[in-house]
Amino acid sequence: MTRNELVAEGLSVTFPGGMQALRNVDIRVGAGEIVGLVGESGSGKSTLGRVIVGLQNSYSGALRFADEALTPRRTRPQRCAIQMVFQDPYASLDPRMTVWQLIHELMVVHRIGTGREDRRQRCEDLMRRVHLPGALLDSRPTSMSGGQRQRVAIARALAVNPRFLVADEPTAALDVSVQAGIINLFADLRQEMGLSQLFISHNLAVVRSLCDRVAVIYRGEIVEMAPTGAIFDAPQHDYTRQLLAAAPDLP
Amino acid sequence: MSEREMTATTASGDIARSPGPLKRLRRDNPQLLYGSLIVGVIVLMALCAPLLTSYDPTAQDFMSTLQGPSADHLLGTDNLGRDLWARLLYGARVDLFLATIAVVLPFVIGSTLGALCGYFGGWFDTIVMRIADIVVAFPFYVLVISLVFILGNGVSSIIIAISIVSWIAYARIIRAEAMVLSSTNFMDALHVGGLGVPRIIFRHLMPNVLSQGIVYAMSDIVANIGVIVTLSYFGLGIVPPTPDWGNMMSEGQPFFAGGIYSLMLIPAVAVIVTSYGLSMIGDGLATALRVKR
Repeated sequence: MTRNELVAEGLSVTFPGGMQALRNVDIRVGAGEIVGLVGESGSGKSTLGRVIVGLQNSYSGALRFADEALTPRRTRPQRCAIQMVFQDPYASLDPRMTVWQLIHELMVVHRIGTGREDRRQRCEDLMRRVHLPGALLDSRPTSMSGGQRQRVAIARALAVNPRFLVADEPTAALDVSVQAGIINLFADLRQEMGLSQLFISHNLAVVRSLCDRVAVIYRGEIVEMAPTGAIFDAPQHDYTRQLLAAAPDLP
Repeated sequence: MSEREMTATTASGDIARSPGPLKRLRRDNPQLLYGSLIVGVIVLMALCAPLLTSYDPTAQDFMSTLQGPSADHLLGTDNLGRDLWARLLYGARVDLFLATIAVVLPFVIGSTLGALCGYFGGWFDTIVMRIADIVVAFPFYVLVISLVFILGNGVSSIIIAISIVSWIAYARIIRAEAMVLSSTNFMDALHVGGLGVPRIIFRHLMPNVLSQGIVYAMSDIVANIGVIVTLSYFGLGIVPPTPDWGNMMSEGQPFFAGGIYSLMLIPAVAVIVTSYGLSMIGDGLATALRVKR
């Protein structure tokens, strides 16, 4: 069993109006592990991601990262350590900025790198890491394809040297033809950098190919959590079986 | 693979785009071009007023009152023998300057408040928007006229009176745009990046929502010219003898019934042409500033 990177215990979130988005959720992600989080829309999977990354700060329960408690007021290193890739790369990148400006801004704010030259070098490394040509640094995301934008979004998330990545349906807004490339990129990031990930998706085929373990969430509760093989071969919970039965068979 | 191809096509597209910037503007955005030309000529004429006429706009000459156009007086003279061309030019200075200044203040205040409302929501948003509702509940001219009445005639009262009312439009426009943006991952991505709130609001949120406000500002200048001219026409704005298109019209009015139309028509046409030019700029900017996503 690997060292625990992220541990959530008894997480509950109730939205104003009484909707319970999460009920008593326990989840654990080990160092260098990719855990899939699957469930239908409205099941609370995005909310869990938002709590972990610090976007949803009214919750009850305990959150620990690298053996430190995470509170709603996170320290700068804690903020940087947990980054997120969003579903819609068309919305999540400031359309007025070039890739260089987008990433450079983060490096300046978090005092990463020394001087312009060094930061430029780091940006080029990041572009290489996400398999984009370095020349794209000086163009705007608006002139790029969805797949390229999502790679830019990933590069931006990596700019602050995170140890944990929450990917919230990162391929749902993309063409099927580019989805595989992005999925492989997430696998590479784990391979090369040991980046732990919570991969939120409703695409079971993707989860199966990428994740070590899978958590199934239903109406705000984690109903089953097991190694990927076990979930797909011997689902225990009724809802997991329904989910698997409802998924189209992909070649 | 398809991503590589996309890059290649956009790159070659950039090279193929050859016609000059002015030609391109005429093809893509004629409104912006012609609007700017109209307004540019008027502004230039107002700025260069002393070069375009040798007459003092307030100098009276009782030997030559109510004259028609001539070589001496391009547009003729009014009932006090003042040169209409000179009054038109110097009046443009007053009206255009005032109308523009009276846009800047509401634009800055309104869009900042709107962005803050859209970003923070909650009680701050509620308070600001309720204040806006209260101000809007008064009929515009009644409010402006009573404010000018309280504050007294003159330039600063006009600016204050217009600002108190017209920040609201900017606040509402920018607030709505900011709320739309806040509901997307745009704001989330900035927060996760650990950027500070002032940076998010002023460096990311506002630049992305201001275009609608800027477009509205053009039509707001038009509206302000209307307000200033109207106030002056009623004797509440620019006080004679300072020339202004509004008081030119009001002074010309008694002669309108007597068949001397030019005293009223000349400033009226000036208002119409200027407003038309500004509206065209507004429409052109709406096209040019549309944020590509």
